Amino acid sequence: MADEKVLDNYLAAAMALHGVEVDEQRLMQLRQQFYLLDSLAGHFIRLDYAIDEEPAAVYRL
Amino acid sequence: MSAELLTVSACAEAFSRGAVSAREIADSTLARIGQAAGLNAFVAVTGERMLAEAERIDRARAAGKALPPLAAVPYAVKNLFDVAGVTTLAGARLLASNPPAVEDAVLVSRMHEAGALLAGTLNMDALAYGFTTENTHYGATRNPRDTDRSAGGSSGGSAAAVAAGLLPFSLGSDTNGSIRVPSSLCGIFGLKPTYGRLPRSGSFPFVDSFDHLGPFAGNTADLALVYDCLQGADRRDAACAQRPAEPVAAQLGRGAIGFRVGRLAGYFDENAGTEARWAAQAAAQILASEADVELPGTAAARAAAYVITAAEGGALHLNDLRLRPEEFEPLSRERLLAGAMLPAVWVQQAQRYRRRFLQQALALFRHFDLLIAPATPVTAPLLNQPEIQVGEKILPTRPNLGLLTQPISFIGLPVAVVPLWPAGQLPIGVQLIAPPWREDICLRAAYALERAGLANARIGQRR
Repeated sequence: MADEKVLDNYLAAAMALHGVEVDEQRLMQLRQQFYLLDSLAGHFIRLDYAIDEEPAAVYRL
Repeated sequence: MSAELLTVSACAEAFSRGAVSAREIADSTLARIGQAAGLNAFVAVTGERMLAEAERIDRARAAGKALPPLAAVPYAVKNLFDVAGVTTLAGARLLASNPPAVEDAVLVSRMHEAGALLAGTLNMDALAYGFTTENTHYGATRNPRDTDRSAGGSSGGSAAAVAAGLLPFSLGSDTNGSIRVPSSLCGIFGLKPTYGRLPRSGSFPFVDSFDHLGPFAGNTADLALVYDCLQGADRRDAACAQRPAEPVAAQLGRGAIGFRVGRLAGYFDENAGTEARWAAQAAAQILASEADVELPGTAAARAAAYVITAAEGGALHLNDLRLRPEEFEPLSRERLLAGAMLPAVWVQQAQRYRRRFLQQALALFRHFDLLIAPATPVTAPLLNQPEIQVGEKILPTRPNLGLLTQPISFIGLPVAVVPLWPAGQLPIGVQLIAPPWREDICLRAAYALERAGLANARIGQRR
């Protein structure tokens, strides 16, 4: 899980990029959700993927 | 509705032999829906349309025409299906000012052609993002088994209406568990077909990567009959496989003998409470499970599903999240917004992980035809209950009711849910999971559990 300050800075930049504005209470909730997503992403983002394990635009079984 | 009309097959048969008219069925259905208003299962009742469909099918019978398979059978749909003349809300006030749908969703059209009578649209979590059908703007749907409890979600109205005996079947959607969770908590049968099996054309999307549509019913035979009428490709849905229909209803009697069955342990045991573990073990015993098996990487699969869901759902609604945040469900708004802010590489890696996890599951299916797991960690929680206890763990209720369903829909496998009843307890569902495109295996196993007396929907009964 990344440092919370790093995540806060990233989130603030992303919000500015997308023109999103929230009040202080919503910002707190938003940060909590972002931290949760970061901790979940930790399960799979740094795995060693093979070059042919590509994501598909439309998943087909 | 009299007891004999509470199943799809009994209803169609009674109509076919002339014991009852479609108009009488429609009238009694509408009366029951009115009496059960306290459940808050329905968002809109399409009485006028239902009576018109009933008149049409009565005329067909009077003219001696061949009757379609669901002739005069009442049903309703989650309110993310387009119904001509009705605004598609998807549980969201955000969409309430949209004009009414111009035409029916493909699956609603297919039900019309099959002779079914549409009673209305059903309540859900806003934008399908939730597992409890606690909807701030349209109210919570109450569980008919105990009205202080959640019906599950997001297709809570669809499950509650069937469990209460208002309708013999309904349609819903399942992105991360939204058919399987309410089936489990309301104690009825549900089917999430293989990803790409049923066309989603004319339904409001949530997460295109995972969105599935499917039926709920009070028994396996009804579920299979409805599923057979829903099948068929549609090119308007890019994810819909161009496969011919593969009917299942006639195969149910073949049972589950010869299936190689495994019970999923590891992650699925660790995230299951006492009743959930009992249910999976009881089903495994009846189906002669050969082994307890682990599906490697399941926790990461659930994590990746969660990330993709937030990202795709958030991206879908980003403009409105920016411009009209007050119109969103407060219970999920910040989850959606956080998802829209994610780095792209997280989402791409989550999609790559999906390939890997599918390969893990397919490797298991070289040794097994059917895998068994609980559908929910616990039985129905109280409405507004903030946390559930799963073994030693205390977890937030809303995101975690899907702990056991999310990893499976992540890779699109077909799943039937059957209801079991721990002694003196509320019902809980078991997932019967098969390889891609083998809904027949799920439904034959469900039928076998029903025939063995283990699975039963106890329609219309409180616990």
